[in-house]
Amino acid sequence: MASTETGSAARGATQGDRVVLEGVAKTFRTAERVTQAVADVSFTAGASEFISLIGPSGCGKTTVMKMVGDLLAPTSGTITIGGGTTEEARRARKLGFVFQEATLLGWRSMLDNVALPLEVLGESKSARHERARYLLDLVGLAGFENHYPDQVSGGMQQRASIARALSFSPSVLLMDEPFGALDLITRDRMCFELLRIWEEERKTVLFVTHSITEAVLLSDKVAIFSNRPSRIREYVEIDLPRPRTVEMRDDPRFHEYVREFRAMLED
Amino acid sequence: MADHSSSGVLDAETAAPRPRRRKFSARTAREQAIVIAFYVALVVLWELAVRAELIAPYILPAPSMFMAELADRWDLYLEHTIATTNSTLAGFALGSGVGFVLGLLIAYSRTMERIIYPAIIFTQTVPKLALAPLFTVWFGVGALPKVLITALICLFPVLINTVTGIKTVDPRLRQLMNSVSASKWQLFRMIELPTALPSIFAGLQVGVTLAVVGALVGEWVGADRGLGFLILYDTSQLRTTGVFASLVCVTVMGIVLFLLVRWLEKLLLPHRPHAELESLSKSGM
Repeated sequence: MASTETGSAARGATQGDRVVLEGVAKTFRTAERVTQAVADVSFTAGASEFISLIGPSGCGKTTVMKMVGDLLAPTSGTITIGGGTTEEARRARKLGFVFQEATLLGWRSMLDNVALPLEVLGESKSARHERARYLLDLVGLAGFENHYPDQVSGGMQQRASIARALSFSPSVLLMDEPFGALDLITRDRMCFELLRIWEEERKTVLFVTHSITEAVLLSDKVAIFSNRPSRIREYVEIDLPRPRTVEMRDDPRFHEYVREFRAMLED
Repeated sequence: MADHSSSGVLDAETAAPRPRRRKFSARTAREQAIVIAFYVALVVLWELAVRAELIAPYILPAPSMFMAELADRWDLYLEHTIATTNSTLAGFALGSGVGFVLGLLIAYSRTMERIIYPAIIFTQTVPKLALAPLFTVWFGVGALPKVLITALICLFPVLINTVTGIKTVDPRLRQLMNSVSASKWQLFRMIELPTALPSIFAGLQVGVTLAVVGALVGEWVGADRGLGFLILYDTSQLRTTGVFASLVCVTVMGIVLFLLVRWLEKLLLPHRPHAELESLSKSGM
């Protein structure tokens, strides 16, 4: 398995895994009713691609993310990650999670928060601290190792949670509205930070967002979801050069994508 | 490594410094002086009222009277305070321990939840005062019934707070632990127990104050020592001064035990800010 060697803190550029969804559907059954949350979702995220999932609130994006994350089983259809099942991927520690809130542990320093997954995996203190220091530096938090979460801003907490997700070198990063709880200015900065991190650690990223501009700015491809029960309305490749820059948001092509997506989401 | 410190992204996101200690400004100092002055005045009035024979000493002895009584017979009060403290602590330890374990069982097993809850609700609905005489019939006059009554009284807050504490764990943290295939024990040790601890300590704080009541009740219904016994005895002799001296001992003991629990919490959980500080730092963001 990938993470048995605990050599250098920088564990090389682990390539992302290909994520394939084919005809994925999910129906929730309770005693009173049957709800179809996801009707038919198929898309392929190529290795190390950045994919955004965008759609109306409550359209089932999070359900799709939970199925990819091996937290829910699809009612029908298949999901493969690097050719294997989601369960195999989880057991092989290929899945990293970033949530809307940072969910850091208040009683652990930033360093020990980032190192938590490695502690679970039984890595020595020196090895996991070395790795956590490297990651805190990567996400721009060098010097905050010994701070506690309540001593730093929300944006910094979210950076630490990204570092935590990267700690055990997963090949796929599942980010469910990771910047949703941040103010707009911080959010904007975090997008570019995320792109910079992604250039260094080439994971496959599935990124749920409500922001059209965020999706266009970050992604290789954008999956636009329909209303519940969700289908993929459109799977669009974003043909803008990388690395993406602040100026690119003034590019007419950028606006064209934004306009196009807005139109799709509105009707 | 990319030089990202120069990109200026951190500038607007500097860490919000958290007030580590509340500052004592001149204003709060003055407010405190007023509060202290108020209570000092109250005690002085009390003293004067008794001395001026407005109140009979056997109804309400003057503070100087029972403080003198305490000074005179300190060895007697010390002996009984120690007896009460011992049964309070023994009962508190037993009750909290059992409460914690039952709380864990309830939090982790639905079957145990169904079995334990009715029994808990039953024992909580029956007034413990009513059980106390029965306990002396079952366990005799001595330390045991006192300890058991005390334990029964302080079991409940610890139990409930253990259950709520563990159930408040963020499901996303379980998810995170699941992504690295953490064992149940790791989940408990690294996430669930530390999350529950502040809540458990809140239960212990309630528990320890109730434990003092439990011990006194235990001593009222059947004991040959302890402050509860002493209060009962002195009341029967109309020695009100002695009763007040005992009350001072009980109060001091209760406060000391309460502060001990809080001190223990601060010692064990150094990085949990108090609720008030937490809300302060949140609103400041």
